[in-house]
Amino acid sequence: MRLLLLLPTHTYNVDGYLAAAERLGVDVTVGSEEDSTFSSADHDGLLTLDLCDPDRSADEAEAFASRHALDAVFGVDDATAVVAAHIGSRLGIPYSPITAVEAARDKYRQRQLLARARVSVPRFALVSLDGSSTVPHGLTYPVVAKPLTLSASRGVIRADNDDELRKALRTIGDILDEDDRSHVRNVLLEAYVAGAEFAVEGTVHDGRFAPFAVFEKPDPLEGPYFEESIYLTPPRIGEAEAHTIVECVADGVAALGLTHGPVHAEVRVNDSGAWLIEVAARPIGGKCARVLRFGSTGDVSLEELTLGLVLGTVESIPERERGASGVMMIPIPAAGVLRGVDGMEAAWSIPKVTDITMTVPLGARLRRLPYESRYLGFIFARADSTDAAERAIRSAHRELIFTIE
Amino acid sequence: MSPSSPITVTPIDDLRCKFVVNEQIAEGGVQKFTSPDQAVGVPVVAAVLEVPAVCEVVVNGNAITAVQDGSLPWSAIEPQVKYAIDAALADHAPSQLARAATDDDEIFDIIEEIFNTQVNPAVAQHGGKVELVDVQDMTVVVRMMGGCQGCGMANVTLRQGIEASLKRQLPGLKGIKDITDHASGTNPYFEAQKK
Repeated sequence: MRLLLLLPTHTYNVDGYLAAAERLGVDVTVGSEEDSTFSSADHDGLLTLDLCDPDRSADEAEAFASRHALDAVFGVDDATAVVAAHIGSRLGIPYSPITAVEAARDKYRQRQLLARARVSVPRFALVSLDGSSTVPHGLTYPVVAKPLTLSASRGVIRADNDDELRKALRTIGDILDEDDRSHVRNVLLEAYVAGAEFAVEGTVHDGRFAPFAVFEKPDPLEGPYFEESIYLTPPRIGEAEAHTIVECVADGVAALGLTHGPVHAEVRVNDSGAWLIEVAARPIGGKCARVLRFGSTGDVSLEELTLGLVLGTVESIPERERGASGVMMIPIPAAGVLRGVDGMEAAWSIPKVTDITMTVPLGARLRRLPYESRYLGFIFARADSTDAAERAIRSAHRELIFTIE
Repeated sequence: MSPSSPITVTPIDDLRCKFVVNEQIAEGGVQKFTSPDQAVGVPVVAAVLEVPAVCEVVVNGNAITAVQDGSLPWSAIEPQVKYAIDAALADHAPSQLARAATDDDEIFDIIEEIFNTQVNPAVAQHGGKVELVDVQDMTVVVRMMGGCQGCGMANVTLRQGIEASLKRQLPGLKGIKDITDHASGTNPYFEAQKK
């Protein structure tokens, strides 16, 4: 059994997927957009694909598959999920339809489909970066401006009046100018929805959505920028509220037409109910996947479960491990050059902290949101209760001292 | 057991106490262990985790921080931890840990040649280098440097490139163990950029 694993060279999560594939006992071909130093030496384990061109990638994958049969394909992020859908379609490998995955990737197209299916989404409009100076008819302040395809809250800015909107659009324009992959000069404007935010991780199989976990985000996300920080599961909410959140995501998955593969979604909850902020046809980003473990002993990783489902070797979804789990995406406290990280040993020694990983090398130039898409690193904790997991994460974070000049 | 080596003890708080010894306990940056099973190959850690009430051990070079569950005062635990460290260091003195003169030695020489002629010329294209540290029971221990240290695709190079190549040439090989402290890499060829 051979899996084509699409890993962009700048992803955080190579290790998790390779380890998962090894545990599953499948042969892996890694598809990346740049040549590996071993590409010429290894004829079946490495494949260079033009991940910016899904059709061309499908051509290349088809040629590869004529020499080495492929049983499954998987993309780890938004962009590679689209490529995987094209390859799946070309090779007859089960994957969500191309149109559904592309809609999940495009915030405006996604909103259109969700609204048409009467899923609760904020009121929205598409505006041009170059011609907008106030909110269009039907929207009132506060609004949130979002680039259509960037991830990790990059370029997502709240505006409470015309002045702030003009500044936000200028900033987004600058960001899109920097991002040589962005050719679209339109931006999604949507009503700001107050309320608590949750994330949902799950899978869809034959069109049926099954949740793995609901995450609480304990830090308020009110703008002007929306920096993710802590995810905790199980959330400290009642079963009825959790059910409402999951149902909201299931409705969104159906509305987009996703049929196979991982799902990560963001939902806001207020007195009016649950509002679907976003659905993605990919798993939770980067190293955050480590926050979820499955099985009675917790020895099954999210990557292993996800790949097992894609390969069809997992017949039923195991329960999430007992207890609470959490992760902090360590925010960047200041712009500048990262010169040092101290207190690592003290942070590690906080009870219930299970992992601390720095993902930005010393010497790297850092920016803050809305320009930056990275985190300094990740802090993980596992504990008997959600409260204890959150305490451990925050304690460890307090021990870390970042020198940024 | 040989005479005790000096151990510096520094209590941190009710749950944590730091023990510093004269020799490196483990390579690869800060690591946490929560069960003896995780501590295979690090006998000092396994021994400390056997001490009642100790539930976690953090190792950083020559420093061992023991974390306890709060059920006993440190005055009751500290002597047991020191004894465990002493005993483990004595039982696994460097002379006993040295690479045994077995088939691994011959394999080491073969792999060293492969590293010199195939592996390092390839990874040098990305400013990287892979050091062959040891061969232990047919497992190759390596340390990655330069552009490989902290590179987002280091593990792809290791598993899909180097390991696959070595296993083709040496079918009995079990695999590769990477002891690189990737967090300390300052010039990775591919840097992770997205969450």
